[in-house]
Amino acid sequence: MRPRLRNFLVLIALIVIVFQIGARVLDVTDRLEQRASAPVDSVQWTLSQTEVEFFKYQIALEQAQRTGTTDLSALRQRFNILYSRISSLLEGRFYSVLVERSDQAQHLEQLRNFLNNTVPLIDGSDAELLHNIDRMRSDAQSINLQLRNLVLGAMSSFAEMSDQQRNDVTVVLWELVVMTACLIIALILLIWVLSRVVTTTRKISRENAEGRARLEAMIQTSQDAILVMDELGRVIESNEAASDILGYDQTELHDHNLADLITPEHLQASHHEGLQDVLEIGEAQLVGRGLVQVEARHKSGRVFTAELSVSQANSDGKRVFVSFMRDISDRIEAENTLRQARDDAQAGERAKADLLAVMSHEIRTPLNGIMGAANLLRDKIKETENTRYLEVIENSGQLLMHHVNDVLELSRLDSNRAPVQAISFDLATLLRDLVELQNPNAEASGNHLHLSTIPEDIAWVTGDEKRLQRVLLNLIGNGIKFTQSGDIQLDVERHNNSDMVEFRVSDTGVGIASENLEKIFDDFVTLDPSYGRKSSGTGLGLSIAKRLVHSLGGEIGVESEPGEGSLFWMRVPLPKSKASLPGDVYARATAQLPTHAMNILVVEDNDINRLVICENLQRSGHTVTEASDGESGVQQAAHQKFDLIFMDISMPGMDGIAATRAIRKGATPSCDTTIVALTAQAQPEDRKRMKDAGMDALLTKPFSTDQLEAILRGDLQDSPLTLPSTIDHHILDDIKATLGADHALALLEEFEDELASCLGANTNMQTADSFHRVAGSAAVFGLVGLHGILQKLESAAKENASRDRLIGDARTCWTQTQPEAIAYLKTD
Amino acid sequence: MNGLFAGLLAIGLGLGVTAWADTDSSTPSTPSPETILTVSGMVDGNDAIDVLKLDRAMLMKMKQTEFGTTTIWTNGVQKFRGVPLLHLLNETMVNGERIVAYAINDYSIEIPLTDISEEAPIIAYERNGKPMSVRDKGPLWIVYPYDSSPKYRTETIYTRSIWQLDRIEVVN
Repeated sequence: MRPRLRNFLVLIALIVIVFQIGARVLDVTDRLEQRASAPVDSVQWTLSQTEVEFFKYQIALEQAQRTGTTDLSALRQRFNILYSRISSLLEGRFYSVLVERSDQAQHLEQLRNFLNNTVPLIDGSDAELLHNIDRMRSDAQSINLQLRNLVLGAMSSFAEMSDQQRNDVTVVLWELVVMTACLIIALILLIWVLSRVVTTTRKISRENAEGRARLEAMIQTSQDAILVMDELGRVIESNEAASDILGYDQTELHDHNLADLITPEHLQASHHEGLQDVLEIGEAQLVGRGLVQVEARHKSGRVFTAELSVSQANSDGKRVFVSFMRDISDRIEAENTLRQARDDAQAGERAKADLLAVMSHEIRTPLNGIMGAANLLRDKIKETENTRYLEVIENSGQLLMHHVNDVLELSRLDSNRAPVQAISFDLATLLRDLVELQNPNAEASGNHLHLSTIPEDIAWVTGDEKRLQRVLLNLIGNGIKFTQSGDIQLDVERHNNSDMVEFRVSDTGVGIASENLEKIFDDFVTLDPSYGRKSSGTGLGLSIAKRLVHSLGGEIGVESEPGEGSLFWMRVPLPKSKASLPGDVYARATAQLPTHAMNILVVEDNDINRLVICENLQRSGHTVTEASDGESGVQQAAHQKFDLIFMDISMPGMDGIAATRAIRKGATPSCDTTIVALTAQAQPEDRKRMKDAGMDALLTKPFSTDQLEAILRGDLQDSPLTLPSTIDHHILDDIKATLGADHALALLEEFEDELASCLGANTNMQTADSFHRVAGSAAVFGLVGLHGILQKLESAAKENASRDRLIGDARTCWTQTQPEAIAYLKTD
Repeated sequence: MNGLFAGLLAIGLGLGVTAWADTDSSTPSTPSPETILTVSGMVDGNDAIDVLKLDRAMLMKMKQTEFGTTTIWTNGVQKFRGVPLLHLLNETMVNGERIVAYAINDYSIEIPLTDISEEAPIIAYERNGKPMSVRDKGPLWIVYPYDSSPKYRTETIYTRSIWQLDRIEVVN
């Protein structure tokens, strides 16, 4: 049983006992009070006195008989006194006691009769009284015995009563004794309970004191400053750490406003406002916010950064604030140093990467020049000796170009500039094309390249086809490179009907020593320098492959046995997709322009440019045919079927326009091939000429790899030959018809203001919302060109991307569109 | 000082001084009604014992008190009327420490003056509106209001409740 409950029960029991005793005491008191009132007076006296009076009456009778009339009055007096005595017996409280005994009642009755019989004689005349004296004496004589018996009986009755009363008193006294004993026991019990309570209380208070001492020790030894403040911010309690951190000893802290003491001068005002808020609103700026960093002032005036947490508590019904504070200057300093070091390191890394990228890029341009020049020389140099030198130059140039491109690609992958595509493509076709394309290379080394049977669940998938192709090309290329007169095999399978597709490229080549297996995916690793001349490489191929695979969410690895061959595997998530439907715009584009292993004709008179394009295309696994002028381009197109033709516009002799016309006109294999114009200048009238000539798209020089890749994907949207119409005249017609020309013009002016503020110098105004709003307005006027640009601005603002170019575009577009729109509205 | 005592009493009782007589003067000068109570004692400053004889009419002219009470000697509530003993003693100006009261049959009791209060006892001369005969414990009866308090229900009080009273002596 729990002590509290037990104590409670004991208390209840005690109360019951005390009540019982109280009730008994009241009862006894009552009975004692009854005892105090005597029910009768002295019984013996009364009874004996009655007898005495009776005898006196008898004597008076005798006297009267003897002396005659003289003593009659005395006789009468005696009788009267006797009468009153006996009537007291008959009427008083004796009576009730006496009549309980039947014999007594009989005696009493006889006494009453005696009195009643005597009264007429006493009250009669003296003569009659004297005459009857004899009879009265005999009456008295006869009643004497009755009286005697009555008195004796009454005496014994009253003796019994008296005994009874004594017994009663004894009982009462006994009850008192018992009750007193009970009371004493109850008191002892009470003392016991009280002593237990006292013991418990003492124990609790001792435990409290110990707990408090422990708490005190904890608080005092805390490294953090602990400060307790009242509602007005005055320090009530503090620990030693508080004095250490703030420089004030405890007496200086107590009863002083903490804010006044430790808030640096420049923050005093705002702190007081904060405190004011606490007092007025009950919501503290700092309270309950967890750890916050604040600036605090040491007694010496030194300002340091402190980590502060303030919580609110109730103490004796008053609000107090408990504050934990820690000087974190050192930590902040360390953090800053670390951050600085990290930033420096990152900046160094970036600078290195940038340098690499810039260098590679800058190397490529002069290299193109060298290659171009070597190419020109080839036609002019006939001597065998010089031709050999030229070959060296060309081979070295090609190799260098390859390296530079590798480095460039690596830095591009590292910077994550190229987003991963997720498009639907036919994986089976890709693999077949890939193997077919690489077969000539394999055969050149006396190798045989196989593609194992493609399982049925390898068909249309979703993924980045381009990157997958790059990796597979690299792995197959490696296999061919390191195998002489052997077999290279490509296997593919889907893992347990999951998204994961595993590719394996195995060869029977030289293999890789086990100690090198882990290194081969690192940057710039070439395992066999002696082998390098033949299988030259930067050692970046596999590290690029690894990055590509990782960017696709897959993994790549190798198993190898030196002398027996290698097996490169990769697993890439390629979820199954439905075959693209014919109605799909994109699918049409891809159908027109196969995305992989295309046969491409590049017609470009500038050697450097041609080299760059060709290199790019080749690296993507395409077969490239070059033509350095219009005529040769047309000839090439007449001889074979190309999937895509890049056509420079300005060329000596037959220019791109003429060449395109020639290709389109002739009933040659490539007469329907997509032709992409290459030009640095593309005025609208030029575009019209190109379109008229039969060109499909325009790639403006200098173009980015992404633009090129878009073209290769068949995405001609970003490289349109015709500029999109900037005004939808139907909508503008509607506006004009609905509002009237004047009103529409006024609205257009309002729109101009709206646009100006949105495109203005204040970048704060350039929010996604404002672009969205203005784009909507533009759509109302049918300004579709502007609308498109503003929509792009809106998404750029959402992604927080750079908007400078788009804003320039928008301004240009508006400058061109506005006069046209106004002119259109004004015409009838 | 005889005259002064009588004069004072006369003022108090509205009676003639003739009521006073020495113990030895057995024959009053004028025929007087039947004396029912004799009070004797020493008047203040006088060495001689003065005796005052009171008849019923004189008693009834004094301050009256009436109460109802049961007694142990009677049946039912009795209504008593009479003179408060203390009043009587004050009127007679006798002084002493106690009184001795006598009954016709020479039964006597003592009451210390300190036990006599304004309310009790009284010298009753009427019971239930009628004068009391000797047979009815008359003509005078010292009674207490027994029902009013337990202190009047002790044996001592019962003993002091003397009936057939005819003399009171005030003694030291």
